[in-house]
Amino acid sequence: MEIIKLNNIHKKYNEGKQNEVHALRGVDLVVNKGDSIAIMGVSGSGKSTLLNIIGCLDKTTEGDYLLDGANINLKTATELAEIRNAMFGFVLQSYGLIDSDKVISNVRIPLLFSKKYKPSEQNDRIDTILNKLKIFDLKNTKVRNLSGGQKQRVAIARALVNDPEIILADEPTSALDSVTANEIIEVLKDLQTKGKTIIVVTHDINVAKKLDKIVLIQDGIIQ
Amino acid sequence: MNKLKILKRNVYSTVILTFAMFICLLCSLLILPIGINYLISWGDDKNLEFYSEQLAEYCVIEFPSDFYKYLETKFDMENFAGIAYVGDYIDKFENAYAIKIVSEKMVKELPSLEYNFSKTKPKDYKEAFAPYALKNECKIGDFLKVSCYKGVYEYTQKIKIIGFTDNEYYDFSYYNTRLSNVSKSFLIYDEIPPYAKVSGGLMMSSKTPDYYANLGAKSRTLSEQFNDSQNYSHSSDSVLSWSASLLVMLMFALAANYYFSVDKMTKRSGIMAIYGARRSELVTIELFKLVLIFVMAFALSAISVAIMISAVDNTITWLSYFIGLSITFFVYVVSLSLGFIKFARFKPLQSLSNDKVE
Repeated sequence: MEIIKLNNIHKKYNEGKQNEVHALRGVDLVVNKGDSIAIMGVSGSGKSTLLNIIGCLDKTTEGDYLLDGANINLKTATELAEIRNAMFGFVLQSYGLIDSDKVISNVRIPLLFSKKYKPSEQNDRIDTILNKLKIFDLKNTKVRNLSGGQKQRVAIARALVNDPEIILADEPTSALDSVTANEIIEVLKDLQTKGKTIIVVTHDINVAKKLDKIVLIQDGIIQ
Repeated sequence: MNKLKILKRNVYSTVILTFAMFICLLCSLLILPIGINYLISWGDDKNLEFYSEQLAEYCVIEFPSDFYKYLETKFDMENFAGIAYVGDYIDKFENAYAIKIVSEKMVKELPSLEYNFSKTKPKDYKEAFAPYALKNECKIGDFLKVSCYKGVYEYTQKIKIIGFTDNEYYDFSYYNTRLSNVSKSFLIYDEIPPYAKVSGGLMMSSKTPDYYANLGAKSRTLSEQFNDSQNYSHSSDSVLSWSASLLVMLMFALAANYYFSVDKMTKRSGIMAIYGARRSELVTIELFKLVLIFVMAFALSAISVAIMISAVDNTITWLSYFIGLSITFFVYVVSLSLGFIKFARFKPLQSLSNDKVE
């Protein structure tokens, strides 16, 4: 079942100006529910632009984006914000955590905008996710005191806490040693077995090989 | 260390802000006071207004000891124009008034400044100007017995009140000669007793500062002091007030800009936008915070300068105060807006790609 369908997607920055950048040039991509996909490409190839568009953080210049059958191009900013909250869990490059905050505060962020969990259910939900990722003991620890692997687990916990359909991970292992990187990939693979769709942007071929499908992007075109 | 780097980077990134603040400082300190021309008075030597060519080469001095008895043995105290302190007179209400002896040289060779002692001392009593604060308790022509201490340091004298200390009187000092308020003192024209204390004064002789320096005193000519005072402005208080105020504002503006442009807020907002917050919500929240920060900083500056104006008798006026506030208000709004606009245009993922800063 198609959950993401990109059809002839173009993205231009500074359109019509001298410094126009044509970041995506007719991208077609279909992702089925429960797939795990690696998007690979060199710097400047359009990976991040593609991730932004898939994650509803940016709009296309041209082409159609269907998310679970709905045309994203027709959505308002408020609707896009709700979609981001409900559908996506983002695992960001270099963790994207607030170092001076506690683990629980970081993990709670998606729930602040959630319609899935009432405020009375949110603490239980956070505890469940932290337990699942084996970091419950770190709940009240400040992020700055965690190791790289622990930080990445917190980032994944935050991505999962609102029970999204799709996990978007941007270079999730780039800051980790190989042992910890493998652990994180196993966590992501495990999520796939529970029906989540996993999309990982990576430079690392070893990470990519562990996923179902590799999409190579070069100069804004999928090879 | 990271925090320091962020701050450093932020200071570099706020060159415009710093420049704007510098312009503001210039406006406040130079253009504004000169525009309202009487506010600043470079070279207006109010402290040395009695200065004259006749006094120019006399030396102001700070003695190495304050005991007159010791000074008499070392210095040419017959040339000393100054005031000696002998103690305090306590009245029936337990109020203390300083008893000060005016030297003969001061009475005879300096303009009287409305302290018209007889040039010859009466035998039976001494002439004195009583503290202004005692004006309701005694009157001119009254005789009073003043005394202080007991034993060897006792000073007891019958005085005739010939006036009250409602004018300022000479205050010679190596650092800052001026006319001082003496409203809580008796000024008595008498021989200076050996145990009196004298810290400094004017030596009305042809001796040079080097001569007094060799005796262990600090000394310079009155003309040197006068020339130095040319560089002193009586608007110093207002300059200080504005500087303090602007420093406060600059600090807040830098902190706010730091907060808006690189620190947690952009990152936090980026994360929140990714996880479902609307940009308009985030920008509105931060705008509210910005207004709060602004109001706080501005109020702090405005109040602090207002307090200084009220408390210090300086040359700044309320008119210039409000003009100054308007200028700083404008500059502050512009400079903070720059930081805020920078924030408001944040891109969620990009704001996080710089998260190594935290």
